[in-house]
Amino acid sequence: MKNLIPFLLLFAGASLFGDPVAFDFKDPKNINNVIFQMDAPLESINGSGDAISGVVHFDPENPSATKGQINLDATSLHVGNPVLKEHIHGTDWMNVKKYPNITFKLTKLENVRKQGIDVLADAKGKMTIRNVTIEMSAPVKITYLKGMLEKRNRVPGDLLIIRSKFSVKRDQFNIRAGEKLEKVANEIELSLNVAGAAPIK
Amino acid sequence: MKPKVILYVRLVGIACLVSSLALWWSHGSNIGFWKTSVEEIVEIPIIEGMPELGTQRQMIWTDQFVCGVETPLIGVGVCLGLFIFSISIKRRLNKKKN
Repeated sequence: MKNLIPFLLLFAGASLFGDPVAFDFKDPKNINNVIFQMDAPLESINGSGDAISGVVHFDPENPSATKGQINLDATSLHVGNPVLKEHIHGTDWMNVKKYPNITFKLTKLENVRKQGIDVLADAKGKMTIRNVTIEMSAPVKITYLKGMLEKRNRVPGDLLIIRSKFSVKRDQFNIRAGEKLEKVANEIELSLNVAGAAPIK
Repeated sequence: MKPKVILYVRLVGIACLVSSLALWWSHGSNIGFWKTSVEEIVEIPIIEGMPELGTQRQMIWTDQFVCGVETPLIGVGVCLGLFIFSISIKRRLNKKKN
């Protein structure tokens, strides 16, 4: 009986926190997207990428334990100028044929605080672009909407919205470091707006 | 009759320059290059009819041609070319006269 007590306590603790819910970020409504902006002295380039996928495990009782990965298919990167788009996709820049994935692997949330229905935090993780991985932190706003998936996708379940604005430097990812800075800024501002779904099985 | 040709060539050059500048200006005088699609950022409610639950920002692309800085540059190039051509016509005419 004495040996059972620690197990019972462990089980009680686990059930108190509950299991994290897996949210799939492949949006059937195709609204999920990443917006990027580069302000160079000669030109400001705005663009977006919308082929987003990935899974994030989120526990509303313990948001700091949030883990997962968000992927962006680099071939979906789009800008208004077709020649520029060709260059961005080309071997000198993003080389989307060789490196088709841009990923952010979320390892934990730090500095977690609540603001109304939102959870604000700093997402710690590893960003991979062109096969170069660096550790980074990005501020995120997470909105957990229990039972609201039915109203969005006509499927019973929960919704998780992740929004983040952060910047990366192209020289960190070996994207023509130090070159063409007058036309293509080194700092790329990214705005992530994604909704994940956890249908009830 | 022939000096009039020089005048017409020069007028065509000026017309090219003015029209390229006007077209560029009418498209918003972008200092960037030509675009074949235009972006619009829209805020879409996460759940339709419930904006209080927040919105998602999306960049929507519409196929549309927007003149870039190449347009006035081409205009300047064509105008200069026609002016040089008109000068060469004038020189040829002067040689014939002499």
